[in-house]
Parts: sequence; structure tokens; C-alpha cells
Amino acid sequence: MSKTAPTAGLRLALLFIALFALAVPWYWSDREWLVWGIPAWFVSAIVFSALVSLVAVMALTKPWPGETDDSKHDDQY
Amino acid sequence: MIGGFGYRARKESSLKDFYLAGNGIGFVVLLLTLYSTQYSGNTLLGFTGKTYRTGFSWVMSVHFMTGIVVVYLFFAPKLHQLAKARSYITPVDFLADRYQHHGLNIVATLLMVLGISNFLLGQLMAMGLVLKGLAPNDPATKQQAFTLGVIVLALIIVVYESLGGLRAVVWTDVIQGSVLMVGFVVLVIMVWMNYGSLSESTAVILASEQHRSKAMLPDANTCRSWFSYIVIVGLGGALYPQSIQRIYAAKSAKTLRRSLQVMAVLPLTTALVAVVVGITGIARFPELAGTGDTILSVICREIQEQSTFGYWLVVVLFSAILAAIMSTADSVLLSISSMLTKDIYGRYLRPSATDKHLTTFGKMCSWVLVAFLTTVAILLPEDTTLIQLLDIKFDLLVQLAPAFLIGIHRPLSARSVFYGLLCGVATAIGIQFVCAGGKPYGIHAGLYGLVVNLLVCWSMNACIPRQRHPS
Repeated sequence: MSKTAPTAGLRLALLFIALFALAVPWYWSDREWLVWGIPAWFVSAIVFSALVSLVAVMALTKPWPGETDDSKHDDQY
Repeated sequence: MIGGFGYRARKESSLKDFYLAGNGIGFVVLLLTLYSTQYSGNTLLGFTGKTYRTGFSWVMSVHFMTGIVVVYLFFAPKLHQLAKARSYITPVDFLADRYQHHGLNIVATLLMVLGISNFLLGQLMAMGLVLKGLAPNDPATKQQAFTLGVIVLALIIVVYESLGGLRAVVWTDVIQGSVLMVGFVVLVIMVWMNYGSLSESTAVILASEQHRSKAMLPDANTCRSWFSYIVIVGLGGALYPQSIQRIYAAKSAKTLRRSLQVMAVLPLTTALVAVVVGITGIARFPELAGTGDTILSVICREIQEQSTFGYWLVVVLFSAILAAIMSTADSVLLSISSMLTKDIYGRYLRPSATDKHLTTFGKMCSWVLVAFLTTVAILLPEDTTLIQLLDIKFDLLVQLAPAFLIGIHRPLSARSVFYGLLCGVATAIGIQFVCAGGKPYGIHAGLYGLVVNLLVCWSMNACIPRQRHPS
């Protein structure tokens, strides 16, 4: 494995940890805020979850080591 | 019928063909089989029930389901590569190849079998709950519906699985996964049309003295539990043996990567829908008795009685619920049967057995296991909730995280992984027994076990000479 791979993996892991930490509403105040009639902390939890999904999708766009293009036969079953 | 097609489509009478469909699952099929295996009866019945009990904070389920895909990012590429090169069939094949430690192989197999048998039990109970929720309000009729649901659906699963192996399972998963996707759309439309939007439900809940707290900001204990769920389900869910076997069975790395890309966004269209339905249930059925796991059935029964259109919507939805339960149950059953057959019977009791003999033994295991778990599901106390069963499973599975997630990248000695695993399991089980609810300070017993596991593993690894990594 190249030297950059673990560093990139570590950065990605830290990004996910940060996003998950922000997704949990531990830092919200008790004040009752509503966004479109829904609790604001609930909306923020969904927004950060969407961000985690987005980062995961982007991370999965990069081909994996040893990956070959076999899309022609991708749906054997 | 699909079991019969699967039987005819088999290429050879081998374990690889029966349990991994010959390692050739393409993108669409892999995506739908991963989807219908990951989203189970727990998602529809357990998650709506849990939301009904706890409120908005169960949006954490969206996070932990996404967490599973995130964890895959860190070990699936290498595991898939190794599986192709070394012809793995079960998850323990990787451990046997990587660590060559008999104790680890046996303990890991037992742990996975125990963990997911619990999951299978949850699915069987969910089958019964679906029919129970639809039955008339007479307690005797409800109990009969539960028993009948468990027995008949379990029988259907074991028949098609015995005939076609993973091929039959993934083909049924394609149908079940498609129905499930439609089902979630139908569920959103149905709830929206009949009970209004999420903001309307929120207004009702905030105005209610009894349920107001369910819409309020979660307390510190719930936030700790939230983090705990993300870690334990993220790690434990990624280590489901049936999912690992799908990593092996993927036709190529690209197929797997593309499937995981789609899987990363699906929690927002599935777990979140279940949460919204649970919230609607709090607002519209505030006085529901019992654990709340029947809330979805109650909502459906009411919609069904309102109009013919509502009736057909519910029919589609219940097909989706049964699809979700059955597709998860069949995958789990096949996985357990493969581990008992290959990792215990084939590896230690009859090493000279032919593939044909092992496949027959595996089918027998499925029948015995289904008979046993069906009996347990029928006899379990009524107040056992689906989420309770889900939690215990992850406490066990998460102890395998160092062996898979760290061991696949870093040099770890077999003994350090083995003793770490034993200490982790002992700690998790000990805490489960000692602490009521098994979550001291809102954190799962399995995570305390994982910390002990990692400490033992790390300290022993520092003292014991390292083994060569297979790759």
C-alpha cells in the first residue's frame, strides 16, 4: 500500500467522525426551535445524515485497488 | 417456484455454487439483495415501534444505517479482493486464512451464529406480528394469527432456500427488494394522505401533555445512546455474515462499489420513512397499548377500513413488509447454515466430506434451525420487543471488529485477536447480565466489551511476535 493511502483513509475517517458528531444534537440548547413546524435539532440531524451519505457516495466514486472495468457483464443475474 | 428455478440454474453441486451463487452477482441484483437483506422487519415494524415509544430521537436509526455503509468503505475493498483470490465462502474463511487459529475460528463462528440466530428469531417474530396486527381484536384470534404467520412463512423460506441456495435467495431478494422500495413510497403517500404532514403531527405531539417530551431535545443519556448506536450498529451491521458473503459473491469490485454507492443514500428513503410513520403514530394513536411494535399494523388497519383505494394501498404495503422480513430471514438462515456446515462440520468434524455431502448437511441444518427458532418465537413472552433482540445481536458481532477491520490492514497476532475477542465477549455478556437494560450510561454493553477487547488485543500484540499478513 502506498504512503498516501492510509493518510487519505485517516482523513476520510476523521471527516466521518466529525459529521456523525455534528449529527447528534448534543450541542443544541433547550430552546424550542421549529423549522417548517418540525424541531430544528431533528432537521439538523437529517441534514448531517445527508452529508454523511454524500461524502460516502463521493468516496465510492474512486476505483478500488485492482478494480477492472467489467461493466459489460455487470448483470449476469 | 423460484426455489425450483434456482435448483435448475445451479452450475455444479458445490458449496461455492450453493452459498455464493458461483461468485457472479451483478450490480442490480447485488444492490437489491444488499438492500433487502439490510432493511428487514426491524426497519418497518421495530423502527416504527421504537419511534412510537421514544419519539423523534429515533432519527438516530438513519445515522446508524448510514454508518454501516461508512464502515464498509474501510474494509470491503480489500476483503473482496482477498475473497476472490482465495475462494472464501464464509466470513470465518477470512479469519482462518488470516490468523490460522482454531480457537478463533470456532469462537468467531459460534459468535456469528448466535448473534444472527437472534436476528432470525426477530424476523420470525416480525412475521407473526404482521398477521397479529391485522387480526380482529380478540386475544385468542390474535395469538392464532401470530402462530400461523410464523409457521407458514418460515416453511416457505426454508423450502425455496433448500432448493436453490443463494441463487434462489437473491432472486427472491430482487422481487422482495423491488416490492420493498415501492412499499416505502406507498407508506409515505398513505400516511401523508390520511394523517397529514410531519409538521401537523409535530403540532399535535407538542400540544399533548402525555407525549410532548417525545418531540423535545434529547437529554444527555439519549445523546450518549445515540453515539453508541452509531458505533455499535455501524460496526456490527457491517459484520453481518450474510452481508460479508454478499461482498464475496459480488461479480467484481466495481459492481460492489456501485452497489454501496446507492446503499449510502437509502437510509434517507427507508429508516427515515419508518421514523416519520412512528411520529405520525404518536400523534394519531396516542393511547396504543403494549410495546408499540404493532403501530404500523394499527395504522394500516384503519386505512384499510376507510376506502377501497386504502385497502389496496395496504395490500401493497403488507406485501412489502412481508418481503422485507422474508428476504432478511432467508439470507440469515443461509448464512447460519453455511457457517455451521463449512466452519464447524466441514472444518473440524468431517474434513474429508465432499461438497455434495456438505451441501446436504447444510440444508438439514436449515430445517432443524427453522424448526427450533419457530418454536422459540411462538413461546417467547409477549413483551419481548424487536429492538431488544436487535441490540443483543450487535453486542456480540461488534467484538469481531478488531479481527476484520484492523486485522485486514495491520499485522495482528492470532492470539492477541483471540484473547481480545474472548475478553470482549465476556465483558459484554457480563454487563448485559449485571445491568438492567444492558446500557450503563446509555452506552451498549458491547462497546464496553469492545474497549476491553481492543486493550487486550493491543497489549498482547505488542508482546507477541507478529504473523505474516496473507496479502
